Amino acid sequence: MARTQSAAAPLQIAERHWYTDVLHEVAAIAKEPRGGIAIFILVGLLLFAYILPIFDPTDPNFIINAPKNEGPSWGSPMGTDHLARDLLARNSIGLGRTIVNGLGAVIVGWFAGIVIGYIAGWRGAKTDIVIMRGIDTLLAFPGILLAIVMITILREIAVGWDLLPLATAIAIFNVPWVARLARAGVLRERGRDYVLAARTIGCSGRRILFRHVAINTFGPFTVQLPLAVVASVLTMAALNFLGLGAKPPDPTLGQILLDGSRFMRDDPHYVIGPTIVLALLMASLNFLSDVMSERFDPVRRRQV
Amino acid sequence: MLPYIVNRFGTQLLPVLFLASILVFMSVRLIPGDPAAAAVGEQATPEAYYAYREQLGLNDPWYEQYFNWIGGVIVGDFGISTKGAEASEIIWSAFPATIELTFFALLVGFGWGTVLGLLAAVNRGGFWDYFAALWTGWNIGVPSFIAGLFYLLVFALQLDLLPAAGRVAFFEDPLQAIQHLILPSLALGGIVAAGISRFVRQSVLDTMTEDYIRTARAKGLRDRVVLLRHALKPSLIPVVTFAGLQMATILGGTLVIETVFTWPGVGRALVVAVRDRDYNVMQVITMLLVFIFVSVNLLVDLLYAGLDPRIRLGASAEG
Repeated sequence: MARTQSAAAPLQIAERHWYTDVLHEVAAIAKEPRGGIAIFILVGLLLFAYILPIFDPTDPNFIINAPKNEGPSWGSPMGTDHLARDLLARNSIGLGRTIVNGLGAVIVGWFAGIVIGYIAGWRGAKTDIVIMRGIDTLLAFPGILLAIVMITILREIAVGWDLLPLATAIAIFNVPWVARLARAGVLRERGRDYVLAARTIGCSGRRILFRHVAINTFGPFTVQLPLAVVASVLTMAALNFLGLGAKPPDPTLGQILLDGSRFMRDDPHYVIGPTIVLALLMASLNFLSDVMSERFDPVRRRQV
Repeated sequence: MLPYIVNRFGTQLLPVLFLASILVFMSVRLIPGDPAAAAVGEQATPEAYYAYREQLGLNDPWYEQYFNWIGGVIVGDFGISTKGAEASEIIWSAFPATIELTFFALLVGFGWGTVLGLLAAVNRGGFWDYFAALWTGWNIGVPSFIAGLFYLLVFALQLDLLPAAGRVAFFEDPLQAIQHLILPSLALGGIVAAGISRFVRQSVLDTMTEDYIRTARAKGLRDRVVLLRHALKPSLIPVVTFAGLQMATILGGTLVIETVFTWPGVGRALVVAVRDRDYNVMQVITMLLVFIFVSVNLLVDLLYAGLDPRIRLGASAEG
């Protein structure tokens, strides 16, 4: 009895959860130099955006007892803005708002895009043609007009969440790219033997698509995801910089840059702060995407 | 080649333009506000207001408005602006500025990017390789409008080398025009140059290991000839596809960069048109941008089909 148990023990496989896979992946990425730097910077930025406001109770919209447009000092390490508000607090809140809305837009846009792409690739024929022409149209449509339309339409609904229209517009920007990726993946996989096998044992089309095919199309997504976050956060900042979306006094990084650009000649500290924060975010996400693409792409992995 | 072009034209270009026209038509009307009210002002009498609506054709049912507009567009009549001018006139004054900026940005992107990539590949691990990496890091890490602000701060405000804002028409004073163009096209083309240089570097390094390069070297050709005539040409094929995608980046980027450098292009014209609820001008600008985007994509695909016979043969075999 005891012998059978000890013989069976090595065969027992530890129960795998999806989060252990994710943790392994994160650990592997952190081991590579660029991946480690990226994760280090990202964690630092997240602390700056979400933990700092807890310890530093300075209200980002409150005028502090300091001169206007003052350079960095002990009281306010990033200086003050043209209304004598603390730039450290403003950048921290601004970064947080930019990340949350950019990331939210990516998640919603990707979900919609993946479902649309799957349906187009799986159904094929007329459905595919109709959906893909719609996707092509969306791809060609100037994003700025879409953003303006969203902002003017959703303005009444978006009370208390001023960035909602912009986030919606950015989610829509994300749809065509992802839909194309998802469709290409499904087209590649749908002719494989395992799909036929699943069909033979009587799986429904929806089950084959979402349980079997979907898993095999995720590779390109993991590579593109950090890039999509980069593009979305950047678009968010750029549209804020054009004066779209953000309602004063609440800051976003783009809004701080827009305000600061007026005082660039005499008080460069005003724009340098948010520039550094944004650049660190962009650089770390780009590093992350590089490392991930090398991990998931066997051809590139061999070269490294 | 011709069947391929016809096929792409009929199944992709035209349907996309048609769908885009509907989308544009609907979205400008979804923006709250009334173009006639914005144009006649608050003191206008109701009669004047209704007369103006009639003149703009806003009293017709929406489908009639759509067909009137699209019928006009087909024969080259884009309707009138609420300011009384022809919508096409507004385009003709703003569009050359944007085209000029896009062209020079592409020049910076491709010219500088290819040179940088080539230098980095040849000088692997040396100064140019690190310089290319630094350039890439700067342009990818820093968004183009911030890079633009930075160039403005350093080269225009602090060093006073180049003008900070505005535009001089190219054919009036080329030297002045180029001075005004350098900073915006550097900001706009920098990110493209970064992508292209990485692409060219990798591509050249890959190509250099091919057998025919060794053959060329074995024949006794000089390094420069091998590099420029044998290695660079096949390396450029993937760059062409990449170019099509970058065109969209640049066109989208002009709209922001125009604001940074107060460049009088279509981006600014579009913002003004939205403010005035100027339907015809909004429609013509958007359709123009869509048209450029779609045609560039088509052009890239044609170039690609020209470079790679498998693509065009596959297409004509299908239909």
